[in-house]
This record gives sequence, structure tokens and C-alpha cells, in this order.
Amino acid sequence: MNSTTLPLDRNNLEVLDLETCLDLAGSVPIARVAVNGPGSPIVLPVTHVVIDAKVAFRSASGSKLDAAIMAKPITVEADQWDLATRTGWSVVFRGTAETLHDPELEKRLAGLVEEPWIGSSRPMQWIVVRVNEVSGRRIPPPADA
Amino acid sequence: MQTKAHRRDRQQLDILSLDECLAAIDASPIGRVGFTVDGQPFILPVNHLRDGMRVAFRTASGAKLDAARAASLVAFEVDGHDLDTRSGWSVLAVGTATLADEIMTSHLEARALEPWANGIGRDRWIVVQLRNVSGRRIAVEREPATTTDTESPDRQEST
Repeated sequence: MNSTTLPLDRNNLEVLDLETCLDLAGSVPIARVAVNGPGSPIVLPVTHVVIDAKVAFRSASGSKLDAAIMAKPITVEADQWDLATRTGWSVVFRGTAETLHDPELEKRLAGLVEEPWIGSSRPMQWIVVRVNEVSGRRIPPPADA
Repeated sequence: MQTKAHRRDRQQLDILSLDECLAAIDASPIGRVGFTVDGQPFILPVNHLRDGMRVAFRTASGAKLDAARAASLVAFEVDGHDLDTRSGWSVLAVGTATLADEIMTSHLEARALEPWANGIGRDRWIVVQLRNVSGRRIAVEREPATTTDTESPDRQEST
């Protein structure tokens, strides 16, 4: 993270460019996905990978998440916070969830991650988010820092 | 988050009790609010307070405020993880978001730290009345579960 000046939004948050968004979102192990559930959104953490400006994560076949997401709008959010300096960033991907049908990409993904954290007895499948929009914000450190 | 025996769900995740879920909300400085605008789910991180079965957070004008004005159902989530043990947990709650009235606002202001993002106009409080609260934790040990509830859906713990 260099100190080039980024534009601020109306809440005085830095507006992150695409490259910074992808770098930051890929630098943390956990992200959260939001999908429209019955009546209200569902938000669940996933171990994710950022690859080719897409986000991928694994889901147990037949899980509630799995049932809710296919071919529907999905949002993936990654963030990181520093309590001491009260700074942090958040990056949001908006798009559509798809199962992975690209063996080449699957091979690359498998090489990037270890086995899933959740030791599910059910098969895990890759979900890839076809991203329509990426946006990110950062709370800048105080000006006199 | 103690290690007493928990029931497990179909994915072999420990099912957290309501008390454990509320304690996890209190212990997390940052939560995330999920809401829907025009069919698109959104997630925003918030710096929250809990008051009984309500969570409250400040917001500037924007999508969160609009969701609250519409008294919509929103999700509230906190999570944590430990890379070394590959363990983690999450708590998900659902509730109706509303704008805090004057009395609630002064009550919240008295308890709150100043907002993080030194933004202008972060002065409206949104209150979410929690209805369903459920929590899951990845069991660190991998022995077979003590009890397995094979019939219940993944996340249907209700208060």
C-alpha cells in the first residue's frame, strides 16, 4: 500500500482503484458472501480466492448456501481492520454465482488453496462469481500520522 | 466460546447457543450488515453496539439508511478465525432495521465511542431488532460428533 493520494468519497473514505481492490481482497483468507435468502439476506463467511479479477470459493453441495446462490445476484465482501489506529478497508464484489465448468481454472484454483477448512463429508464444489462490479473503500490514517 | 460439547449440524459444525452468539457479537468490534436493494444483496461493515436483542450502528446517508427507512429485513453477521488451527466461527442474525428515535439515539450516544471513519454526517443510528440468531463454529478436533441432528436444516436456530 503506497501513499499515493486516492480520491475521497462524500464520507471522507478513500476510493480504492481496481488493482488495489483485487490485491487487498486477495490478501485475507476469509471473505463474506451475501445472497438473497427467503425474506432476508444471508451472510456467511467463506475461504476465498481472487483469480483473474474473479472471486472463487468452495461450498458443500446441497448446503443452504449452495441452494441459495446459483445464477442469482451475489455479493462478496472482504475487509481488514486495525483497532489501534481505527483504520481499515473493505472491498465488495457484486456479480452472479456460477458453478465452475472450466477444468483449466479448476486446476489453477486447486493449486492455490489447501483443503477446505470445514471437514464436510459432502463433496465440495467451486463457486465462481462472475463479477460485474468491484468497489473498495479505505479509512485513511489521520492526516498528521 | 468454551469447549463444552456442542450439538453439530449436517456439516459437522458446532451449533452455538444464543448466549454464545450474543457474547460473540459483543466481542467483535466490527460486524457486517447484509441488506437487499432492488434485488441485489449488499454487505457493509459496521462498528456496532448491542443492547439486549438489538444491535445498533451509525451510518451516513446512503444505502443503509434507505434500507432502514424502508423497515426492511436485514442480516447482521460477525465472524472470527484462527489460521493456525484452521478454525473459525460465525454468527448470523436477521432482524428488522429501523431508524433510532431521539430517545434511543441519546441512549446510544451515551454508550458509543466516536465513529471510526471521521466522516461528516455519520450521525444517524440504525437499530436492528434481532429475531433469528444462529452461530456455528468449526470444531477443531475431528472426532465423531457426540450427537448429530441429521434432520434439522443447516441454520434454523431460532430465539
